[in-house]
Amino acid sequence: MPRAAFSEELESLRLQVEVMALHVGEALARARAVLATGDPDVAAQLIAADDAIDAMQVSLTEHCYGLLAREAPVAADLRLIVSVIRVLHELERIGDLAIRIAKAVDDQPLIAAHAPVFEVLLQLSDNVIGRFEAVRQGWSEASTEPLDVLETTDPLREFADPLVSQIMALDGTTAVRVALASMAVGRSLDRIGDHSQIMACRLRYLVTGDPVYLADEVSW
Amino acid sequence: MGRPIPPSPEGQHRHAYHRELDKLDTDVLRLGAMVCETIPRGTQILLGGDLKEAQSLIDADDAIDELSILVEEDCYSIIARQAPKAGELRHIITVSKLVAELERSADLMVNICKSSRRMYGAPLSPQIRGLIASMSTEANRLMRYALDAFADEDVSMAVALSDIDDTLDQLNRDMVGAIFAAHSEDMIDLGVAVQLALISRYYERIGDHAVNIGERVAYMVTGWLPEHNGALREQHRTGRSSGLGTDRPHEDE
Repeated sequence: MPRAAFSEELESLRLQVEVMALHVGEALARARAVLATGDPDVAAQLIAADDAIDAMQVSLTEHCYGLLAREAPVAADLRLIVSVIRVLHELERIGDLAIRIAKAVDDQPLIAAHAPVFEVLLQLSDNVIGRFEAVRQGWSEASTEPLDVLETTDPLREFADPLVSQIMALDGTTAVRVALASMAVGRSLDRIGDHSQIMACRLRYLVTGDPVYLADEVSW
Repeated sequence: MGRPIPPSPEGQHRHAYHRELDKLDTDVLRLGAMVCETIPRGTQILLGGDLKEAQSLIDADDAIDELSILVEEDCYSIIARQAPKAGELRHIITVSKLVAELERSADLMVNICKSSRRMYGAPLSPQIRGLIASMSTEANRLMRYALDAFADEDVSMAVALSDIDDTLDQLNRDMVGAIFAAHSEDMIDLGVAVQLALISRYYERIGDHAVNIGERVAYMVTGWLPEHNGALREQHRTGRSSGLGTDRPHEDE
């Protein structure tokens, strides 16, 4: 394939990753809505929409494999394609974790009845969505600048520790059920944050070419 | 007797390339062996409340991380230098995916050690100890089967893992029931209940990673991913047939 056509194909690949990231962002917004309202219709919409995310992952991953086999890319082009393969996997996992939150819809009234725990979970979900959006924007602009926001918050200190404290303060006959349901939602949110961080590491690797960011990935 | 004919430069190149692929397999299986060792070891630490060994396992995770990065970089390097096609490309990509699954499984055993420190000194009933031991055995069994499936390119074993994993899923449900019962009888406090639920979930996740490895192995051999199912549903719903990659790839496309 001529160089110009290959460059166009890579640009198209980048744009399609952006579209998939938008779909995953919608899934996160719906997961937040399910957590806030317990609306089963929104949960069902989120679950149904995941097939489109899966379809995009399959299509784009196979496209990447095809490019690797056909074009034998090197240097920056190779970095872009292998990074896209990794990011597609992270996006698909974030979509699955959003579904996990939606599936907690039956426990939502119970969690919502315990305001201190509920409030921390909502704040954590807002924070996680904010961090995902920063990474999405970074990918869209091929820039690490939007990632600065990731350095300004410490979700562990700001949310995870308070969540555990609030859960430990629960009492009564439903305490264990609320605790386990809240921890499950909290853990899914936490993992979504981790997958966003891995995407951020990939973006830094892609922009700088420095493999130290690959090493950073395994810390999440 | 004539002198042996030296291999052609192309033959030498192929030979070196296959040695690289063999080394990749050896390294990922070594990584898998390291991960499998952490499962019973971490469980022993948890049940024995051994803080020193807990720290030792947490520290040892650095070696697993380091090997993971090396193998992944080797995958990219081979792709860049050798431009592999079809089955060989899928093989290398599968190795790179396996690395991530194995590295994450080791992280989960680190999490179990950290949880064991958080509930240090809490007495556990024989039932809960038994469930933990069973989950550990099952998680380890699944991971070994998954690695065997990779080593032998055994699709039958690879696709059977999701059914074999049902036992671990059931143990997880049993564990949640046991946690509820123990808390209602004041045998454990809420903090211990939460840590036990997380520990149970971590073992279950290791089983999920083993199933993921099985799916990747099946992809390596057949070119079919589980995400193709969702893609097929989406294709059916939208009526679009192109660009979704839902045709099973051929070995020599």
